[in-house]
Amino acid sequence: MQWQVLFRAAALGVSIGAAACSGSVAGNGQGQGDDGSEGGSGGEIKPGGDGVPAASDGLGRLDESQVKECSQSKVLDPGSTVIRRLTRREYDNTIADLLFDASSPSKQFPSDERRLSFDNNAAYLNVSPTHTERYDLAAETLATAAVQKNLAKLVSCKPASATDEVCAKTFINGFVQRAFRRPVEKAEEDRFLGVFRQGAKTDFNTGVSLVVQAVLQSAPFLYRVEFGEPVQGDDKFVKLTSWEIASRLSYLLWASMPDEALFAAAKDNKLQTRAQVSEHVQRMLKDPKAKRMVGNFHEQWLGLGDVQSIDRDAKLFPDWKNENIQMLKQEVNEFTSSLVFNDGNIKELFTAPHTMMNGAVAKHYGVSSPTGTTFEKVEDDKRHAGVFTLGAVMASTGKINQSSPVLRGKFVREHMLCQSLPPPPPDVNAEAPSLDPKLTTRDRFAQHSENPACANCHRLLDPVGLGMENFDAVGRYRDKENGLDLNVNGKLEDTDVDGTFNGVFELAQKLSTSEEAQRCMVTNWFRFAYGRTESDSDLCFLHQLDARLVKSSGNLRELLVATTELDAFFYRRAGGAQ
Amino acid sequence: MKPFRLSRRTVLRGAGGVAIALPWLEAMAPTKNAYAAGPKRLVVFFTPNGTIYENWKPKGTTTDFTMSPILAPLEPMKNKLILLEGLFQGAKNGSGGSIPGPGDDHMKGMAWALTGRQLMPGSVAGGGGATPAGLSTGLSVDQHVAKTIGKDTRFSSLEFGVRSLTVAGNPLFHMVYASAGVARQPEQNPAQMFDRVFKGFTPGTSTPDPTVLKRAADKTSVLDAVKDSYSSLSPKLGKDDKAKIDAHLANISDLQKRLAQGSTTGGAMGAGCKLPTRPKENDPYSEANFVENGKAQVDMLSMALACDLTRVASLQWSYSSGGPTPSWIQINRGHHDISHDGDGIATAKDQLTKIDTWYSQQFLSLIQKMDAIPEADGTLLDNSMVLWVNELAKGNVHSHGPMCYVIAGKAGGALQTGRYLHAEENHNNLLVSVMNKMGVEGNTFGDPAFCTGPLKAL
Repeated sequence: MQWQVLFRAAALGVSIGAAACSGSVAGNGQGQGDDGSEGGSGGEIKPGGDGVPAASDGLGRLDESQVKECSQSKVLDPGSTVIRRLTRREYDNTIADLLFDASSPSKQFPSDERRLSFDNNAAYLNVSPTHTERYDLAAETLATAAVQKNLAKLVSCKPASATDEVCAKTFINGFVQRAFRRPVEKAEEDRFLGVFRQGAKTDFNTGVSLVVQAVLQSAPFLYRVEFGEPVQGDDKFVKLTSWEIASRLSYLLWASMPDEALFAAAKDNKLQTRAQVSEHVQRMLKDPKAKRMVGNFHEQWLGLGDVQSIDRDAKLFPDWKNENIQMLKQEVNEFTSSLVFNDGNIKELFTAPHTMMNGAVAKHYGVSSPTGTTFEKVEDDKRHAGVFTLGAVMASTGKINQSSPVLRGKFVREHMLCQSLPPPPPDVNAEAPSLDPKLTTRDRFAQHSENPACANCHRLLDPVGLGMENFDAVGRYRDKENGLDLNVNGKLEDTDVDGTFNGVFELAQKLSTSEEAQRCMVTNWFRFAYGRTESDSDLCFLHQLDARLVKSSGNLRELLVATTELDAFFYRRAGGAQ
Repeated sequence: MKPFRLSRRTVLRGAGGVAIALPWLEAMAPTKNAYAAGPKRLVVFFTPNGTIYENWKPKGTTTDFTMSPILAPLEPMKNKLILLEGLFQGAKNGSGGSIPGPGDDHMKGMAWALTGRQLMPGSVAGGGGATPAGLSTGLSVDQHVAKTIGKDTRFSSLEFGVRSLTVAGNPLFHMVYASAGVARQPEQNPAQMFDRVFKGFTPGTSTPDPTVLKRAADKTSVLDAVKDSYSSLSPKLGKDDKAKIDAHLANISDLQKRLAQGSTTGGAMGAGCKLPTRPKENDPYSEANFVENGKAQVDMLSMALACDLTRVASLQWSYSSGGPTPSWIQINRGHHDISHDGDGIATAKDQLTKIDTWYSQQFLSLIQKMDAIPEADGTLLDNSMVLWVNELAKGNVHSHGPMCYVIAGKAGGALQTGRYLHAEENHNNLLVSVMNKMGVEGNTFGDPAFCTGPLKAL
């Protein structure tokens, strides 16, 4: 493998000329909640220093001596971490495991701000007054329901009277330890006993209910708090406790709280070595909760996190319903998780000649089987090339009445290559060119290559997206548009696999050999697993993940496992977040 | 003593098309203190995607005009309305306006509607190749007003939405801002809104019933313990984490204060205050529930005002560039999609007119409910200012002028209704007038570069 590692997003160097270039590189403007909440172009990653837009070099390279540093035996700087609030996803999953309540209460919470595609970037998970109100309402509803439906599961003892504090303490210690994901402090026991007493003025169950209400709004429940323990001979870093590691594992692999086996291991302090952790990782990956997490990662990475509904012109797409995107997202989940959990590799993720369909998805694509509700593997090398041909990807990068080569090009640049595009100049008229029954999309976008001011930017976008024209704005295969044969020649520039290609299948093959694309996926896993944007101090970790992927011939499951083996997983900087 | 008032019909007939002299109008207008018995209220009503000006524009003069097709449903309330047109958002640009800063025209107009300020640079890519934007750089006028008139009520303001979706950090979905970059999200789930506003509230009781008091005591105990968990954690944290936890703690203290107030105040208003029924649970994201949820929100909004649970409210229908497919009026394309059709397409024009006419009916429903609540000499509506805004003037060209507004209510005597006004002034001047009419002083609001003082015409 190559020692010159480039991980940070490459800002593409293009000088911007104002002109009336039609065709937007920005979102699809439908405002269906699907446009632009992620921002490769506007996230934290900026073009290279000195205000000079960098081409694909100069950012975050590791030279040979740095690579050597990465492999030394000392503990690597674990990077800057901040206190992590539970996301809506994590809250719902945690409530399901803690209270046996699958009502998904976070539907009522404000949505989590998305950064570089992901909803779990801790630095951006703030709490507004609305959050506080909703947490309070949800806690009350959940506590009431818990006492009515699941009291026996929460309270193991039988109260002798409404004010039986022995039984109350048993409940408090058991419940709060699970909710806070660590042993209960004496001050906390006293605090919740006080709450219980208030409720016990009514009856025992009200006492329990009030404690549940208070716990669900407390900081150690809503936040993942990590203090760690001092490491001998090192004042810069602290090692996480086994309790803290248990939560790291469960929230990474399950997006939920630890289970009993993790808690037991934490209690015995048996989550301190890589071997101890690995045992649990292997066990946890067999749980359906891991499949749910993997599907969710891919959904978010591909920019589908906020996409709830996609509007299409009913005249042109009479069979499309706005909510069809949901089943296409399910296809993304099924396809990607089936690869990860069946020893699939990154090449297959990019090029597999199959997808997963159920009856409804098959009907959308015009395929006769399967017909039931179960997802099954459907192979067709003329129609499927890994994530690139997924209906959800094609539809979410489409416009209301047409496919968008510009948005598809942008998708490849930002999501698959982690490149950041400059925003279009402020005075362009960027409405997509009007439909014309006598022209193909390629004909209509010709202005971008003819007008030099447009071509400067659009050379990076349109030639990529136009190669994907075999798929319409709802992700169905076509070989003609308006009765005209499609020309699907495309071209990649400013990548490590530059050159021409014919159609999305060749594009996918090309990108499957791109180290830039591979490192982009590694970077995305890092962001998702650690809930933050990478910084210079993380380059060794990215390098290690990449090396593991190469060593395992691109095995996706191995990459995921490797995220739990980094020093960043076991340590944090001392002295709290700065 | 009841002041002598002329009936409008008499005046118009008597004037016979002759220009009406000012003293007459003065006589018809309520005196400044006519509705002093009730507090002032501000309500903002939002619908998206611009309008069809030729079908919005009334015909006639300031005081003698006939309603347009879009405004026709409002005929029964004509004498309590001001129809206002001609303003521009941002800098004047021909007959339109030009809003500076990043974001597409939907986003910019949405933020400008109530904050009168541009967007921050950010990560949300808009349509039309716009520079990616974040949220607004300023607070909205309703929130500014709420600091004064909303400080004594259980909720300083309430934000209602109807399939308003809301994606955090995305300016398409937000018009109400507590401060720069801090949006207040509308609640689009009526059942949830009911629980938030009316749960534990008994109208008309001066001594709260014991179960309400017990619930308040329980809540106090719960939130005291919750606060302890934050205040004990805070000193152990690094700077950034501490700031986050401290902010959360402050929010909980505010909530606790509000809940404590709620158990002892509210319900002091007139006989018009009645507990609404809790709307049934449904999926607020579904377009099929748009009409039903809109009705429920209108009912609760008017009752929250009548019961004096809040004095500032907004109702956001959909979101800028949004709009469901309004199958309930036999239209099978999405509102935003239709709004992009060219001027020459008659079907689109008809459909957009039909959609805005339907919104007029919803506006009518809201103000009629408010007008049915008696307060002292007048009604709740007479003590209110209800302002209907849009993020755009014309949908297919995404213009920011001439903007069209409907204002209902007399703001406790500060507004002289029954007029149709054309004013080629800055939209921000209207925001100054909104705060002034609500009793909040000041000569500028929003970006001062686009504001010259209160709206002269108003």
